Amino acid sequence: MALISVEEGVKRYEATLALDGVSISVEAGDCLALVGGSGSGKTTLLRAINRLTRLDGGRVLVRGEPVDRQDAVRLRRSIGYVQQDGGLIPHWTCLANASLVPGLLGRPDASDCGRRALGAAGLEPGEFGSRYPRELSGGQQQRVAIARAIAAGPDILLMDEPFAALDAITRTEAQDTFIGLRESAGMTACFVTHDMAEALRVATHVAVMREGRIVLQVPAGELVDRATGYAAELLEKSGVTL
Amino acid sequence: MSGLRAAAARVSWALALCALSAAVVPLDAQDRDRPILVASKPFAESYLLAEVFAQFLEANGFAVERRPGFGMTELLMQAMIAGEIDVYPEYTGTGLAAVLGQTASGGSAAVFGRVSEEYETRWGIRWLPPLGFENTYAIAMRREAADSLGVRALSGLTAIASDLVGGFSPDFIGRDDGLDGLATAYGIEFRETRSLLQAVKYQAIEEGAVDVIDAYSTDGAISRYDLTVLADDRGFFPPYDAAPLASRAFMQERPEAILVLTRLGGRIDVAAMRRANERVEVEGRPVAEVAAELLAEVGLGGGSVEEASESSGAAVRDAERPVLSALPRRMWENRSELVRQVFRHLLLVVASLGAAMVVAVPTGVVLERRRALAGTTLRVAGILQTIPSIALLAFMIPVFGIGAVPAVVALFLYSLLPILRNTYTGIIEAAPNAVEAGRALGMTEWQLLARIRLPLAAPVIMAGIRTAAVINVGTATLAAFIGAGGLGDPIVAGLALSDPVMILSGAVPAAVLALLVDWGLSGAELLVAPKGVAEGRR
Repeated sequence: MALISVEEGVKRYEATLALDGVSISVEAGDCLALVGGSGSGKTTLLRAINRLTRLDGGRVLVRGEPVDRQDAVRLRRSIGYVQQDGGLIPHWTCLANASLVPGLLGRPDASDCGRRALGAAGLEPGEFGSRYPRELSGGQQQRVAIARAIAAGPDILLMDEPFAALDAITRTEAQDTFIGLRESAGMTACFVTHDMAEALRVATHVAVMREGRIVLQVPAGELVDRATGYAAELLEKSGVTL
Repeated sequence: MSGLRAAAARVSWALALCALSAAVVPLDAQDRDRPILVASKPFAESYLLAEVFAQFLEANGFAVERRPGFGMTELLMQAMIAGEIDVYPEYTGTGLAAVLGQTASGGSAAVFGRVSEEYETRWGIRWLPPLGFENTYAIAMRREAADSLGVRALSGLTAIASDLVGGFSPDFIGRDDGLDGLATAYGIEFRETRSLLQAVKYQAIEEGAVDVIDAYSTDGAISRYDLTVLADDRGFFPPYDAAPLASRAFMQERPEAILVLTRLGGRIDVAAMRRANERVEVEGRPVAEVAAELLAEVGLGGGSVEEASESSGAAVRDAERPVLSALPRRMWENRSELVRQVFRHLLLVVASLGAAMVVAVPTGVVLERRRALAGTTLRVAGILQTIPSIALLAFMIPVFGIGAVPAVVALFLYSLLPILRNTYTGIIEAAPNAVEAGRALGMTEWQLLARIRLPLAAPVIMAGIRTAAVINVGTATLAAFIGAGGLGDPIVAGLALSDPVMILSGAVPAAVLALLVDWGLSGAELLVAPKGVAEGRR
């Protein structure tokens, strides 16, 4: 069954049409990469899934139920979220950041969840837990953000260009950590990227977006064969040889 | 040191009583035992006469509260009508021209009759019997200048005024029986006219910065600065007989006290008054002491001079000493009064600042949610900020009367903008990425505010509070002009008496207080700064 599906999603920002009748679906355990240039609507689509953005038309279903009929706060607590710049809370320690969602859910073992998540994200909790975000490198901060997203054990993870701000080596390491994490936990994920190579490396499925529409949606393995036109252009730009 | 502690204890009691009485005054305005409020205008003779009234009332068993240098004519009239003060010394000519807007005709008796009737029918305010001397406006020049120009009378100015610079008190410039009327009556047009406070006028003419000034005929400084008074040869100035002015409530509630004040009628002649003025203005002696002497000289004195000067807490003034060495001594002698003024000052600042925090911080938070309103709201607060302090204080009088309440309201309005603006920008600039991530992970708006935005904005909000506090400490000195007390009292009195030591005895503590408040609140800023955030965020 599809854990996430968007049906004919439409979103308008004044004169511009950010989403022009978009439909996607992500099966449980899959990882969908939304690929496109800036302004293609990929971030808007991602944010519609946990109701950070409300659609003007169409509908979004999470776990088979329309998100409009779910409580936004409870919905968001059940979905992991990572944004490009990490968005760590600066005056909280890394452990406090990582324990955020279990804490919001009122779990007595919130700190343990945070510690486990930090470990899973590749950071030694004893070493990093008591530090503040600004004392960490960019790559380490992004790992804390990933730990925070998975600490409560969500079945769904949304990520908005999670690795874009990292240098090439750090990015590859972070991608590998994420791939391992997702597969071992069996999490369903949807993430935004402008990099076809990253999509191919990390995702099981790829949706190519342009001007608010999906131009191609295929399993990652079939992408290279089926890419034509704009999708092929993007592949080429990302240095993936056809 | 136990003496000081006892004094401090007395002060705090006095302060508590003061606050209490301020709170209950409207309720027990009918109370016959309340002290009689004696006010004056801010110049030496008015101080002296008010002190004469006060001492004479006290000698006859009445409790008195002094409001020396309370304000100029308009302010005193408003306070009289509102029943905020009971009695102050006024001049018939001023009442006729400045208050009633009429021109003089007839002599002293006719003018006194006219003002008595008009004040009584319009406001129920009573002119008590004139004290026995006239203090008319005197237009004066340096003797040597008058001699070399050959000017003896005001009509002599007509031809040469275009070469002269006039320096007049704001009061004189602004009123019908003042400069405008004079210029019309004599056809005088000065090359330039400057507005000068009484405190600096004589120095200005001595230095030659101005050529012609307005003085008072009983002025002790006329001989001191070697000035010539030009004769009013066309009879422009109306008679200015000095008399106590009594409010309606005072008349109705305290007939025995009124009776006491009528006994001053006709007792003080112009020679006695000029001598007394000289003692204050030229010899630099304390008002209370000179007033007691004046009462004794006219045969109404009771208690000894020492007792009188002790009772008003005035210190012996030492004009020979340089200002800087006289200042610490004066402040030490007046320490109990000074402590009371500092507490009163802090009370004004804390009350206004507290109210501003209660209003502005939540408003700043709400504005972040309703950004469409933010521009307008901040603009309104900004406009409040641009109103000159004195003007804002004056606006408060018709609404809130005089005293601490209007001062606190005005200071409150001044405090709004810095706190509001810093709260608003502090909340907006508080790690927007972290707020966005927190929201995406299911924090409620309230949790975002309480756990991310407010803690991060706290140092910025505190900086706004600090700005407002420092502004308030300064502005509160001006509140003395509307009778709010505090460290402005010695400044206002010192300006009126041309006493730089007295001015500094208010100004220096006010400056020190501002620095201390600034220092203390910068510490508070560091205290509220959340950990883990880059230092030096301001």
